[in-house]
Order: sequence, then structure tokens, then C-alpha cells
Amino acid sequence: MDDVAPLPDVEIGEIIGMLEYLKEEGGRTDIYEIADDENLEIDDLVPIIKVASLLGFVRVENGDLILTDLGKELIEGDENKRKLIFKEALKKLPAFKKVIGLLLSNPNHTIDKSDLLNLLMQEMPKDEALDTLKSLINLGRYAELIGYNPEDKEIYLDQLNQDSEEEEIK
Amino acid sequence: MELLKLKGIKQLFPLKHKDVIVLDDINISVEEGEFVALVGPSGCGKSTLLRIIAGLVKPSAGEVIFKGKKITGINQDVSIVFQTFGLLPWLDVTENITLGLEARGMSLKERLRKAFKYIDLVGLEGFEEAYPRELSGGMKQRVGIARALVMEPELLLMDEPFSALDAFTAQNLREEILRLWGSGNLSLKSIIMVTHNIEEAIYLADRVVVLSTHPGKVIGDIRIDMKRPRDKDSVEFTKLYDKIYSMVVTAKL
Repeated sequence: MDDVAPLPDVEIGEIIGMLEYLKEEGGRTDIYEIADDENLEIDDLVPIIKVASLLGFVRVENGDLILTDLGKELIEGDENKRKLIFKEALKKLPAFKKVIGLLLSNPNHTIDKSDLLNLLMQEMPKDEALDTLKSLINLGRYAELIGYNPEDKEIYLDQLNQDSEEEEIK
Repeated sequence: MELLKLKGIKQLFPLKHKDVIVLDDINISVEEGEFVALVGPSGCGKSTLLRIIAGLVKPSAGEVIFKGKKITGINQDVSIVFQTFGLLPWLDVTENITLGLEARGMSLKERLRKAFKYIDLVGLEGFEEAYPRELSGGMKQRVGIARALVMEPELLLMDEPFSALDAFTAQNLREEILRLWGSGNLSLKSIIMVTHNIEEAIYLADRVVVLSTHPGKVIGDIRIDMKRPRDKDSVEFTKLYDKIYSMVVTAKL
């Protein structure tokens, strides 16, 4: 598992809420003003910006945060449209590509949570690996890209995605 | 049409030597199609009033009239969304949502059909089998909202629904509520929300009812006629904010 950058653990609502805020501000604002307006510590804000920019919903330019066209499309869409945009954006992230590759290489299309954590820990410190794992499951579930069974502690490929993913990988 | 009428509601809280009046002579009427926010300083009895409307608490005096009939027990056409979500940790998302339907004796098939409809509406797809401990606050409150909506109430009561959430998540869920409310997909006729956040009240509601404290009395009833989505930086918004803010401060003095 190489070139997998750590992924901060942020919630979907934080990302979408930040995009909604940005839209209200006309699509562009100073980063320090967001922290000020929303009463957020910069340490809480940065992970949200990081994930949102990895997904292509915002970009940072000279200390300003800018809503991209994709970000705008996301907040203007209904719940299904949002999930679809998340799904397409997540598929491009190296961490998700790896996980999907692992799931496809396994005949059952599943992987134990603990196995995935161990793999992540080969790439990053434990704290970051735990955050990345949590974030992968949370974002993946929301986008209906992967599922997680808390009883068996197993991550699985969402049934609907199996055929299309296999096609794409080929 | 009038959905709810509160007539002379009074609530006493008995102490050893005297009674404390929590709510005094509350008269509020809510029309179908209205989103009403109840604001006031802490201790003004807002949450008690919600419980009285739901029929969970019997008022010391006064009447709750729902669709023209006096409410004497729990009102089946009302659901509540709580600040702290109120989920059962040993049940997964689907089970938490369907619990109330089970109590109504609905078949499993019908329960699941309904649950999936509301899971879809509030954006919880993918989390059907998750347990509350796996969920962030925002997702937990989505479960809270789905659990209330699945009962297909005519009146939705929300008790500080966004105040346990971080700023962005709260903003996101406020938009979700407006989207659901405006979608016409719900059985809902009216919403009453208790909040201490004046900006939130003006942003969401058609009417803001201001309560005083010790005792809780209605001291203001302000109609918000701004078109949605509302611009928080607009002159109109700021004026309303100033007006309600000073009422709440005066109520506290």
C-alpha cells in the first residue's frame, strides 16, 4: 500500500455545511474569517478544508477558500445527486482506489477492519491510520461505495458497485 | 386552518413552601403550514411547553387543542426531535427508526418499507446497519429526524435540535430541514422548534414566539415574511435580529 496519504476524520455534514457557508458568502472568502464567523479553531477547520479540497469541492488561493463548480453542483443537488458526486470524487482518491482494489482482489469482496488498519499503519503513524480508517468507512458508507458490517467488523464492496468497479479496473 | 391551539396554559412546579410558576397563561395558535420557533432565555419553560404540546406532561391549568379536539393523553400525531438525539445504543440505525412503528403493531415488511423511505429522504443510505456509536453527531441527529418523520406526524416538535452540533454540521442540518419542509414529501403540517439561537429562529421559521422567564409568558410574536433562502447579512434580517434580541434580553432582566 503505497502513496496513500492520511485522511483526516471529518463528518459529511461538516463538509457540506462548509460548502453551504461558502455559497452564502458568494463562493469565496478569507479562511480566517470562516474560523471567526463560525467560532471554529483553525485546527478544526483545516481538516475539513483538506478533505473538501482533496475531493475537488473547494480550492485554496492566497489565503482564500473558493467554492469550485463541482462544490457548487454538490450543494445545489438533492441527496442522491450529492451522494453520486461524493462517490465519483472518492473513487479518484488514492486511498479509496487502494481499498477498492483490495476488496476486488478478495473473492468475497470483503476485508477485515483490523487487516486494513494494519496495512494503513505500514504507511502512517497509528493515530493517523485510525483517523484514515474511520474516514474511509464514513465517507465510503455515505457515498454507498463501500459498506461496513459492525457485527463481523468487515468492510465490503457495496453490491451495486461490484460489477461496474470490476469493469473499470479491467 | 388552525392545527394547534394552546389556551391559558399554566405550569406550576411545586417546591416545599410554595409553587414556582414555570409557564403562565400561554395562548398560542399555530396554523397549518406554519414553522414556528419558540425562543427565550434558559429557564423560560420552552422545553416544558413542547412536552405539554406532545401530551407528555399534563399542564396545571389550560388546554391543548389539536385539530379542534382537546388533548388528554399522548398526541399520536406529534413527533419530537431531541437535542441529544435519544437513540438506543444497542439498536442499529434501521432498528432505531422502526422502533415506534413496531409499537404501533405494524408488520416487519411495512416497517422496513417505511424506514427505507425516510432513510433515503434524510440521506442515511449506507448507514442502515450502523450503530449509534459509529455515527457522528450530525448523522445521529439525521437518525433522530428520520425516527420522528417515520411516524408520519402532522406536527413535528424539535427541542434545540442543532445545538449539540458543530457550526457547519448544524448549518447543513438546518438546510436539510428546510429542504424536507419545502419538498412536499412529508405528512407534516406544521413544525414547532425550541431554540435559544435567535439567528437560527429567524433563518428557519415563519413566526418567532418570544417567551419571558420566571414565569414563562409570551412577550412577543413576530412574523418573518422574508423569502427563503434568507440572507443573514441583509438589512431586514439584521433588524429582526436586533428586535428579537432586545426582547429576549429585556425578558431576562
